Amino acid sequence: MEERIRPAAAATVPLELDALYEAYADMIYRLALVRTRNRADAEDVLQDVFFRCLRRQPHFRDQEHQKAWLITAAINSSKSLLDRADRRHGVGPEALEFLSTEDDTDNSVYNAVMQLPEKYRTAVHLFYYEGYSVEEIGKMTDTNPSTVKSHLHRAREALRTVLKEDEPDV
Amino acid sequence: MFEQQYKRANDRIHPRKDLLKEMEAKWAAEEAHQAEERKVVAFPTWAKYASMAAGILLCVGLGMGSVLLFSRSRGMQEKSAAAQAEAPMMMAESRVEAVEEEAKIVTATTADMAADKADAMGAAPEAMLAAPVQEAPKGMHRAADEAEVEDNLRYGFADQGLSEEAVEAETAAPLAKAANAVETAYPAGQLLARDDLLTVYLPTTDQVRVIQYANRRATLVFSLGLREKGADMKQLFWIGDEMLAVREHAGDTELLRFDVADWKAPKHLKNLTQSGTFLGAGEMDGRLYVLSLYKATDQEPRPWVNGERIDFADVLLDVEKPGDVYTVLTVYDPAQNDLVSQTALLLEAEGAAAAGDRLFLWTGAEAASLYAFDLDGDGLNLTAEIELPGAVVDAAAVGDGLGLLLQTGDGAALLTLDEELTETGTVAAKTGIVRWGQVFEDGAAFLTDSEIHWLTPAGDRALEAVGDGLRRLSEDRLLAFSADGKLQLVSLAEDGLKTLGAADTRNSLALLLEDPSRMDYDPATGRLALPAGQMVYQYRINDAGEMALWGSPLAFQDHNEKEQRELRCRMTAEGVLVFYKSGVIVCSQTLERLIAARY
Repeated sequence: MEERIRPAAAATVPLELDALYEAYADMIYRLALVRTRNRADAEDVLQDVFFRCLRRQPHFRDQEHQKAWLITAAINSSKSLLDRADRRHGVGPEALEFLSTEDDTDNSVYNAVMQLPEKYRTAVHLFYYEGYSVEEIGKMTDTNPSTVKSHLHRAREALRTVLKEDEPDV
Repeated sequence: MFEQQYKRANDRIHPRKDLLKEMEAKWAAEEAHQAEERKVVAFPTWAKYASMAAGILLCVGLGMGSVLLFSRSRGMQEKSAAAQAEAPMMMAESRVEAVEEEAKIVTATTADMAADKADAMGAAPEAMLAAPVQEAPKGMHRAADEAEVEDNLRYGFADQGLSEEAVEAETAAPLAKAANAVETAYPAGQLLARDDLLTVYLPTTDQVRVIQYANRRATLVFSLGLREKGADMKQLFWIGDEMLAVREHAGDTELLRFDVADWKAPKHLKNLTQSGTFLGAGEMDGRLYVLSLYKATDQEPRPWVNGERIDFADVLLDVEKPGDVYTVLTVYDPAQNDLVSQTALLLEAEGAAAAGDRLFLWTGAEAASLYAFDLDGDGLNLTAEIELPGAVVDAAAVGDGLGLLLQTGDGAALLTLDEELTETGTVAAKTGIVRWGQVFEDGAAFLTDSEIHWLTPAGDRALEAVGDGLRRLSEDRLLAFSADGKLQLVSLAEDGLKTLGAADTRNSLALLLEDPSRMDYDPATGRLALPAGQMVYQYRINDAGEMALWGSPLAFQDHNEKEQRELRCRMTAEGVLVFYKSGVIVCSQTLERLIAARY
């Protein structure tokens, strides 16, 4: 609303494919995977987001601005993908087998998150993994901050139920 | 615990290793395809006609059974038609470029201008209501680029959160013609513009332009390139004969001064520069104050103005809140052609607002403090300060009558203060997070997630409402609006708030309302200027209670490549704003009647 304190001089932001990939591929892929619960779909989203960025060459104030733009684009892209009925996938061990080979506790937490409804998963990921505030998540997902809060609250409740033996400190 | 586990699990997830190579190959193919399409556009005209004629002859000769040849011929015809449609546009471009290169002044008669102004100021709303929606012809852009333009549009509309159906409908809508548009070559970013309905002054990151709208045509009459391209323009002011643009460049804040006494040929005066990132600027009594935030370093421990360090004597500090961030404040007086004051405060202000005859600065939400400065005379004097029991909601929440709307721990509070900033009264309301608030002489209006509140010493009145911003239209009416284009007109009746009307403008008005803080409202004329995205919008309410919306004729967006231009809006003969691909909006003040026609 009002003019806020601005960051210092704008940093250089990557707008070439390899630079974008190096800087943001993991981030976009992880978010897309949380939303789509399918690796092939997550790759589609990753490609769609980067190509969209390359085609449009948006003006970014700084890297934070670019990161937020890419996250919003990933949310929109995965939403479009999920809206297509024939592309819906459930969570199953075949989709997430890479999480069953290492630390069991971490995997159980991740898999518990993946069992949440889609809007809760997105809020949990952006809040706990990317470290965005409720207000920032609201802007990215076009949702009221109070709704985001509610999603996080319900997600925590659901996670407590799923992870009875190891209650999350959330 | 959960957070760390979730992070560790995510940190082990990566895309497969060969994905980048696959994407690079696909992207290279797409670029090659685009290059091929551009070559098709460059195909000589005579060759197109020859090929087209050959195609037609072949089709006639071989009959309708030859589907392949038929479609090729049809493609050529489309290209040819596009080339013909392109011709007037190319002439318009040449005209603009010629004006820019030679800085020639395009003249318009006084009578023409008066007629245009009369149209725009007086007759527009009534004419708008009566005017039929005009068909917008195709042919604005080159046909060979259509797929790419539509692709860009589709992504753009999708990014606005439209449904899939709406995205397709918007994308499929025809493009508007360029008869009264001027290319601004405006790069993506923030647009600032000020106009008097005939002349538009437009500073961008690379140039300052003056566009005249006379004879119902927009013409670029002046253009001045700026050194140091790429600096973000922040705010634009007009004091006396000077146009003042504030921009941020390389972490410093600059005031660009232009003498616009001769509106056809502005003169660029010497810039004023102060260290630190832009915080805010405003006009008070014919003077302009500019605020920036400067973080001290070992190499440059004190902020500077015009290359000279601010004297220690001019530095204020709060001994209880030491820090290394300065708020730099300068005051420029066009009448004296110079800065009349420069001060640095060793504190990090969160916001500033002018109210009454004083300037107020406040610090962040935790243990917020409010400082009042007197800008009279030649100095800048700190006259009072107060610790606040909450956070200042926003700049509009500092009222002229020294009322202050705060977000407190359990809701909102309207604090009234005397000249010494001593609290004289408080009225509180238990609410959620305040999204937007404004203080008036008789109370404070604010919006939460689901309600509009009217808070006065008599108490708090609330009503379920949409809300990302609000405007007070008259003594007893508020207009609340949401970012997705919903409007709600609310009556401030003594027995409670009432909804007088509501409308959903769909996406059209959402574009307009994306940043309410940048509205420039003149209650005397009822004009509301809304620099939103790529356009400047205004609305006005006439005596008949009709609200009209229209836009300044700026109107090009350049997608880095000239082949991908899009016309965003245009002014019809009646002065109606035709939103690009979104239609016309005309509605009555009571919002009982809303016409949102798509063309």
